[in-house]
Amino acid sequence: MMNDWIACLGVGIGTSGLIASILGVIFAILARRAAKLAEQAATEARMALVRSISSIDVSRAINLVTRIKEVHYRGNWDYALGLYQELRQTLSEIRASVANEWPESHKEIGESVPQITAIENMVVRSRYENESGAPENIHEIDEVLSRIQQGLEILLGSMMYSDESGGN
Amino acid sequence: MANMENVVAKLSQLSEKGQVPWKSTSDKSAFAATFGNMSVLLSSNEHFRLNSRTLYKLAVLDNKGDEIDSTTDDYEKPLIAPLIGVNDPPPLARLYTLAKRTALGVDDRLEELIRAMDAGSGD
Repeated sequence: MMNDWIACLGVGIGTSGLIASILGVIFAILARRAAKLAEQAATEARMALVRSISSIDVSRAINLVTRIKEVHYRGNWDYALGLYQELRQTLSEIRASVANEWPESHKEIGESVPQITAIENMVVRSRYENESGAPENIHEIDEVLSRIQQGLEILLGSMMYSDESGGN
Repeated sequence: MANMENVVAKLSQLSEKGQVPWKSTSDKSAFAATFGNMSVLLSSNEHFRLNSRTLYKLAVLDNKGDEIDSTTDDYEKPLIAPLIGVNDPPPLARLYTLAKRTALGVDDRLEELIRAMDAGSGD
């Protein structure tokens, strides 16, 4: 009688232990999954923030290009020189932030930076060469700027679409 | 320690093999190539063109397009061509020719011209 009772107790404890182990494993899996989801959510939030900051920079760069074209049209070359520098700086910041998500834009923006430097050098040279300070090939300069602007607009569109579709 | 001479030598070596992504710029006398976070801008300055002299400049630019180092070559073409070995083009003048050919796709265009001539499409 006593032995049966002990045996029942043993089985009961064994079963409870087994259930406790199974529950422990389930809880551990759930906890790990929850931690993974939390980490994923944090990464997505961080990426969304990076995208939002980058898209502000891209909008700023597009506005800068537009301003530069206006300044060219008005022939204010001294002022344009300051804007080129600002545009180069902004482009390099954008380039650094899009390296992983938009490699094509990363490459294009990298190639745009020396193009702006070339324009800047030409404007500096023209100031010494002629009275108006206007470079001869203003049409080509505006063409290059328009190409840069177009690339930035495509990038901005991709960023907006990426935000709407939840980062993908 | 790397210096501009090494940069010119490396660029020339790679340009000979067509491995430098030279691009034309809005300045017809300047060509740019980007490598990682850095770029190079190679220009020939017409302002210095006096008689047959040309000033070539190679500038290394950082990620913001600011010049971090540069080198120049002043080249005066010999007036009498048969003086072989005298006044050979300096490295930057040779590099400039290679950069221009790549950026403007001169080789492809010449091949296209030869193909067109072979096909007799000149009439």
